[in-house]
Parts: sequence; C-alpha cells; structure tokens
Amino acid sequence: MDCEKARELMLEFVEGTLSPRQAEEVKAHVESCPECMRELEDQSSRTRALQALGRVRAPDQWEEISRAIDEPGARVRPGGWKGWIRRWWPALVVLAIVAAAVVIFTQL
Amino acid sequence: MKDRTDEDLVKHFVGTGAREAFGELYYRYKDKVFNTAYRIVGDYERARDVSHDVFLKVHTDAGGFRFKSSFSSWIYRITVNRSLDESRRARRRKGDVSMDAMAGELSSRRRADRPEDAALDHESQSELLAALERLSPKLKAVIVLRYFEGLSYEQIAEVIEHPVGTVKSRLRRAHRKLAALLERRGYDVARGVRNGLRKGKGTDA
Repeated sequence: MDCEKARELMLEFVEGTLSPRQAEEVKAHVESCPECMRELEDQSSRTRALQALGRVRAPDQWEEISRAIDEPGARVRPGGWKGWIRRWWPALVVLAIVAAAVVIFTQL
Repeated sequence: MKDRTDEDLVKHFVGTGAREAFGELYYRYKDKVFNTAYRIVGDYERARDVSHDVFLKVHTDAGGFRFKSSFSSWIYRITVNRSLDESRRARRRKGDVSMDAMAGELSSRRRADRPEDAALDHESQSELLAALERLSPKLKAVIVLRYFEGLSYEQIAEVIEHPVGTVKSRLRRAHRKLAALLERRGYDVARGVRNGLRKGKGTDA
C-alpha cells in the first residue's frame, strides 16, 4: 500500500469501519512510514476531540410548538391522492371549467 | 406510548390526530433535532427557530410520510435541510456570518449546560468550534451527523440522500479542512486531547 491509499483509508481506519484485511494493510504501511504515522495520530486526535465536544441541552419548546399546531393552517396534511387533491383542487376546478368551455364552444 | 416504535407513533398520530403520540415523538427527538441544528447554524436562538419549524413540518407532513426510510432519517433530513436553508439565509443577510456565529456560540455556551464536555479542555473546545464554524454548511452537516449524533455512514447517506461514498469523501474533505484551519491557528489538537483527558482523570480522582 502506498501513502496516497493509506491516507484515503485513514479516516475509516481510525473509526474502525475497515475490513480486518484493509485495516492490517493500513497498519503495516503506517508502521513503516513516519509521515503517515504522524498523519494517523492527527486524524485520531481530531476524531476524539470532535467526539468529545458532546451535546448541548435542548430547550423544552413543547408548549410553543403545541400552540403553533393549534393555529389555523397548521393541521396535518394528508398524504397520497387525498393530499394531492386537497392541494390541487383549485387548479383542477379551473381545468374542468376550461375543458367544459372548450367542449361547449366547439359544439356551437 | 413509551414502548411504541417511532413508526407506530406516526401511524397513530396521523390516523387519530392524537397529540400525545406527537408529544412522545417530540420528546424522543428534541435533543437530536436541536443539537443538529445548533451545530450547523452555530447560534442558539436560530437553532430554536429551526427546531420549532422542523416539528411543525413533521406535524404537517406526517400524513405524506411513506415509511420508505426510518422516521429517524426523515426527521434528521428535515433538520439538516432546514438548517442549511437557515445558514444560507443568514449568510445572505449578513454577508459573512462567521463572527456573528462565533459570538452566538460563546453566549449560547455560557447558557447551555455542558457536563459532557469534560473530556476536552476549554481552549480545545473553543479552537475546534471556531474551526468548525469555518466549514461550509454541507461539510459541517456530515461532521455533526457523524460525531455529534453518532450516525453510521449508511444512516448519514439516507439522511442526505447521497451514496455512502459521498458521505466518506465529504467527511475526508471536512477533516482535511479542519486540519488546515487548526494548523493555521497554530493549534495542536493532540495536545488538547491529552490535556482534556488528564483534566478528566484529575477530576475523577
């Protein structure tokens, strides 16, 4: 394995998502290449630091969300054909009127 | 309610309009949604707005949820998309949001209780967060989903609707950028992690 390939796989090596065979190949390369070893140490430190940042405590917004849901226009929108018809009914009505007008006009 | 799956709760809530089913979903996901938004938009108040909008959208669109992906991926997808929109909007509004976002981060961090941060010292946190802030929102999103939310590459792929290969290449790019940014700031991450771990051990003793 060359440096380019080893560096491409380094993230997954650090995160433990490589196959055992690939991990062995990366390990063998890194042990014989001081530059890649340094790169691996950096990658590993950075990953651990990111994982250590942790989470913030989320505010409880249930009351405000619950109030917003109760406002008109915030009802559950049905999916499937019912939802489609509910969204597009004005356009369908216009289309039906135009179609009816065309039929009547052509028969005159 | 507590022992029901997310999908059962969605079906129950869509079928009957039961507020308690939606409430259960809210409390299951509020931390995940807020944290994802907070890390992408970089500001506590804007993350609150994003979080609010996400749950309203889930409430409104749940009827159209076809169960092709997990509920978890769906709500993360809505959160990431809404957060990316918010980042774009903020950038347009302010020209350059980075200084603002960093100020927001500092004030938010004073307000937020962060017991989990003991593994990193304060300097390391600040340096890393400042570097994260400089990433593009798309790169930030994969970092957040991977390291803050602990999603697998496959789950991230489902959330962002791109192949696993794209997830890995974005993560690699994000790491390369972070490395360059931290180096430019003259910060040694390895030392920060060592200090943090020493401090953590000292606190435990």
